[in-house]
Amino acid sequence: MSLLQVGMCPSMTTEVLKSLNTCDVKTVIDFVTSDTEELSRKCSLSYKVLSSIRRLLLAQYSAFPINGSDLYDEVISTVAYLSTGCDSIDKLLDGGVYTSELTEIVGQAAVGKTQFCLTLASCVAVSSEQNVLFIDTNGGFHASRLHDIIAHKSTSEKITSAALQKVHCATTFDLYGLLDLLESIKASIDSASEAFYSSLKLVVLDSVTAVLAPLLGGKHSEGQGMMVHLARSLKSLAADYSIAVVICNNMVRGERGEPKPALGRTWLTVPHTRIQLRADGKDGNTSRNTETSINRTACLVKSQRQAVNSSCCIAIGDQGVYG
Amino acid sequence: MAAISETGAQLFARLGEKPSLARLNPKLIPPGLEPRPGDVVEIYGNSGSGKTELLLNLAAMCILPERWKTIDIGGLGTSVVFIDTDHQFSMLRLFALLERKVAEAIDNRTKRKGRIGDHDGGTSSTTHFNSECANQKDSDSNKETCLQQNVNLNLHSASCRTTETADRSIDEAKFSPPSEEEVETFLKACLKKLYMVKIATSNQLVITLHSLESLLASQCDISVLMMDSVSAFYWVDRMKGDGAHRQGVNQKLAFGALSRLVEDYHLVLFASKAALVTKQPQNEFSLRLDSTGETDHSNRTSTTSVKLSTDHHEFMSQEWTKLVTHRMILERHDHMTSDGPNSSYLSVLKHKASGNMYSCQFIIDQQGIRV
Repeated sequence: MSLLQVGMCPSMTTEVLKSLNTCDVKTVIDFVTSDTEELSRKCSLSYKVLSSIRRLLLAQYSAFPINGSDLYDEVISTVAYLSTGCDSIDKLLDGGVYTSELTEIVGQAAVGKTQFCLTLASCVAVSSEQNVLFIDTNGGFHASRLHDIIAHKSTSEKITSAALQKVHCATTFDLYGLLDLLESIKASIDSASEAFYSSLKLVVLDSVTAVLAPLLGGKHSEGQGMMVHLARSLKSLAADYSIAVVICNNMVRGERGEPKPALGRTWLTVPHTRIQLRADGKDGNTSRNTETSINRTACLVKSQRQAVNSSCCIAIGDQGVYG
Repeated sequence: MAAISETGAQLFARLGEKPSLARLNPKLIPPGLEPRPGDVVEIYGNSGSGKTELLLNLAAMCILPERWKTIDIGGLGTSVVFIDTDHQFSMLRLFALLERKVAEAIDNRTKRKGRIGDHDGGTSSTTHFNSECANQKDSDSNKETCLQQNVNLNLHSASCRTTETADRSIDEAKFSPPSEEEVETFLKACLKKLYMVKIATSNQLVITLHSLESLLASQCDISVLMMDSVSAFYWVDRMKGDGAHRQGVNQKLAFGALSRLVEDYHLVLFASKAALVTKQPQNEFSLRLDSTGETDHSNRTSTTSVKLSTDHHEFMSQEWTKLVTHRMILERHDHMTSDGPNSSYLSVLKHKASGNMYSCQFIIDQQGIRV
């Protein structure tokens, strides 16, 4: 929390700060939450000076209320959706993944989460011609696979290499590295120093479980706190910079042996939209000799727009996720 | 306590009459259980149980007016401050809800147009309905509209709007549905009644709650405060602080400021609280909480009669629990039907002081929450 400092506002002089500090008012929060009249009596400072400081601090540190109709105009001009490259999932999501939202892909190991992300990344790079940042936390990113999917979608070698230019991959294997990375993305967009970040529209995080799971459990709530930090950082990246953020999460066994998304109840509330991928029917026993595609079911588990629990069938093949 | 000095306008903003929330959504919040100025309604539920959706629905009804031109919309026409701490607020969804509600109202109005000849402006609204209904008994589709109207008209008579019934019968004949642009301009005018506050950190929340006072003092038609969600900073605040006694200090400050705003400005606060902690024994977090005595056992709602699988479980500090006057527990049930999987939602509203309970089932679709 920001400490009170000399020069924060014109009336905050060394003497004022000193007498405030003697009354145990050290931070902006301390100052704002204490009663101005009482404070002026305790510190024997002028009420006028204190209330002018308070006004300035409130203006500087509070969130400003936005009028609903202004917000609507802003949302209409900034929100877009990016096609996932898979028609039935696009339909499920009402167009695709939305910018300024967090979309979670949840499913058990080897269900096709990374394949979905690679397909999404290539579709955004080829069709929407937007930049993509792929954050790899578990070594699942394969450039050659990405190349194959992009080559399937593009018509010429030139387009393929142009699209590959649009996808950047960052690897980080722990939470602190990830938080640093997210902050540096925001800083790069703010400073407009790199052309890549200025037109970044999609950030894929594969997977969130790999960085968070080691911190959870045990007798301390720090892990939960760090998880909320990461959630807020991802959400502010999405909301403030109008970027679509897609994250992958694993499944764990919950009550009565039913699989549920990993990372616990607090994480459940974080994403705006959640899609669950399931391998059903042949239960992954597809033999490679007889079948060229692998069938999966995608189910919309959480959404702000669409009816939940609707599902569709998709397949994974050479061209990525389709159907 | 120091004396507060305020201007007449500020006093008026503080104590001026606030509209009753009985009409907000009579099916979800029945008359008698509606929150009154100064009340705090907590909306509790798991992820995906419809908390944000419910808040958006309520917000839509708050900012829509009671009537637009000659169309009965049935909104409250009051301003709302929406504090979004979770980046969960969706303007697109709110706008879609507003559109649907207005379209529905226009539809009802158009349907009613054809059968108004027997209106005589003088009698009370309820008798209108009765006579109309008698005339229309043979038509099934009209009967439905009648029922719809019944709700509307009863509400009108309840709010003593008899003078308006006279103008209405004159207007009936020359009604033509408004154009799309007109609707959009109207909706954007409605959205002006919404004040969005997006919060990034828990410190910012505390300071913003203090700074909101100036907004509330200058806009006297704000009568509802919404917060999605109060539990957003729970873990972060617990982690912070340099010693045990500083833990959760921001929570305390934020709830103190909230309670002052609600009390001083006669607001109703609707706040969502995610079920972050369960009391199932296999959950080690709740075990730990129980052993440190931080959970409030006395406040556990006994909902055995309605059989909720996820009972309310208090995990937040006493400062918050003390504020809550009404608690609404939401739950989603997924079940298979012939058309595939389907979800229905259950809400249980409890007034803490009287112990009165009310439960209802609803679905969420494109139109929003439908009972």
